[in-house]
Amino acid sequence: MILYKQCVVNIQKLENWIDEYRRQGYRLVKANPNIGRYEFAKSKEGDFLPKVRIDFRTFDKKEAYQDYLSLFEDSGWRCLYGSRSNGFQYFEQMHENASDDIFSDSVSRAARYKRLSTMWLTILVPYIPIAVALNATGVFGWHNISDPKTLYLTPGLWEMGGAHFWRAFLFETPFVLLRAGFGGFFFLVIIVAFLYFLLKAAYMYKKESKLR
Amino acid sequence: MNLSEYLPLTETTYYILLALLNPGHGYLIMQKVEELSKGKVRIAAGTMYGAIENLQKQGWILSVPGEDTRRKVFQISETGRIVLGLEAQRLRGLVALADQYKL
Repeated sequence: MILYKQCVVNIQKLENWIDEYRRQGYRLVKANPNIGRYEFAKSKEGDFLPKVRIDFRTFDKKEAYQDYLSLFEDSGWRCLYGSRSNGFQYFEQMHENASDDIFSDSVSRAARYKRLSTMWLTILVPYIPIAVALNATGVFGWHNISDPKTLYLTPGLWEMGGAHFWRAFLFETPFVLLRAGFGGFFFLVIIVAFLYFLLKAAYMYKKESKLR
Repeated sequence: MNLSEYLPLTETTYYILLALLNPGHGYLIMQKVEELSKGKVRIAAGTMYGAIENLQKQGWILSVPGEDTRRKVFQISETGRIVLGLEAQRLRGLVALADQYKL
């Protein structure tokens, strides 16, 4: 059974989602957070159904990542999906004797969100000078908003009426958007989205680390 | 720098520093802490990894060479030893007070 689920910030929600299928007897066999694809398999009655827990952490060195994975394996958690630089690390229990969770206190569990927030910040930062440069070269086209009518070049467009007008108007609109440089807004959308993820992760960290 | 400012230590930190009076890797620390606390304190892998990282950043534990290339080995530092000693002293003071009041 293949299901799709996107997770940009709320790791806890993703864990709960996987837990829900576990309760119904499904075992997570493959995970790919980059495209949000999850493959579940129905497990046989009486089979050990491992819990899945997710950490977020990136590593500069290969040795550090190996040390991290060894620590989890030693305590009964096998890496189901993970990469040194991506950050999302999925672990599943290897046997019944594995610890119940990969975190034993709420502060360290919440620290995932702190690292996630930092990750979104490092992605966001390079976009800022680009956006400033684009703004300076007039790509955003703010000045065009004041008089949008002049952007339409179809002769006599504003004198047309009814269906004739709408057909010509809608036909030209995509070209107007391109000409006016609203493509630059794409950058703004990206920046706002990253900023939102960053703030949400920071908020989650604040909230979760207060839980006892 | 006045190391007393870092007191009191969390129970986790106290046990980890105690466990690292002898060198050991992450899982060994987990087992040692469980043993020292008579099974009361069980640190999970993710929490342990973060704790090691923080203690190393603070300079209370050091990475020492080990035979296993897949597992890093740590040991308490001179500073860590002092902090642990200060905490033990603080706890002794509190226990002495409790004794004085026959608690």
